[in-house]
Amino acid sequence: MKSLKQTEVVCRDVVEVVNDYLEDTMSPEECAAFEQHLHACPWCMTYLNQIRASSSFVRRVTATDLPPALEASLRALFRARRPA
Amino acid sequence: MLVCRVVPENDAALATEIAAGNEQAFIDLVARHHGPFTRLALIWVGSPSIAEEVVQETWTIALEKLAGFEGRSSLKTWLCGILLNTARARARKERRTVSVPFFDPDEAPEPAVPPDRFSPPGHRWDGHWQAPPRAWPETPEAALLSTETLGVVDTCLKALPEAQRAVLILRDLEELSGEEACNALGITDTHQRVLLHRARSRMRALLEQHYDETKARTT
Repeated sequence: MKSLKQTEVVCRDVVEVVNDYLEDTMSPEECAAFEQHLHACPWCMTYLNQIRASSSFVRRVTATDLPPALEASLRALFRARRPA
Repeated sequence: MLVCRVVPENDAALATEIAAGNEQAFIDLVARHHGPFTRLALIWVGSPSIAEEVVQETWTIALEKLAGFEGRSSLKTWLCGILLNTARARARKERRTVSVPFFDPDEAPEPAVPPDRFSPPGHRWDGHWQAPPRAWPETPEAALLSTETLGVVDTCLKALPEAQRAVLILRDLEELSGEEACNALGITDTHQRVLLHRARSRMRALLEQHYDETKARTT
């Protein structure tokens, strides 16, 4: 993975280290350089927000309902094992 | 009379409630993890019906062992561990060759964004956007996502390579820490970070394509 140097941060580098920023694995110097670029570049800010949004959307789609047959079966299993 | 018992958010308290016989707490826990668990199991066993069986077996094992849950890890990490062990065992039984942990360190680096979207070397704006991302019409704060977008997200998730999908589900759906995901999958932190970076980048790119196509259709 790339690392950032304050003097040469460009958008092409930013998109490769966005995840390091979100994961909080950057050094303080890298983080400062990243944020300095971000404040000056609305497009990279948009990119960062889209990465965040993607994660959020994935969370929505997987919130599926429990199939009734599985719920009934697990309730029966639970009752059979319930402490007396 | 219908009696509603409060279902605790705290893992240890929830485990205690379930072990003490709170059926609704158990069902709520199952419902919370059902979607991610089924998708995770599918990566290993390859068949939706077998994945459902793996998930059901996971809950059977969890119920047996829950009284002994000591809270040394979070409840969801403990449950993910049971699920993955069950899925791996079932994959072996089905003699399915699984490529997980599926990381090839020699694999060519995959750019998060196609290089031609940035100004080329020699240009005065070398490395800066020349085809920048456009803001999306839907945001994480929106109460509802369009049915079409939900379908696209589902398709995108299924289209991810298995390794990236597994890491994305554990990190972004089950909200495991990087260390917990590494332990669950048996991969290094570097591998996990590369896979997560690629998965999130691909998801963003596929969603961008969806929104661009939608805009082109409507203008």
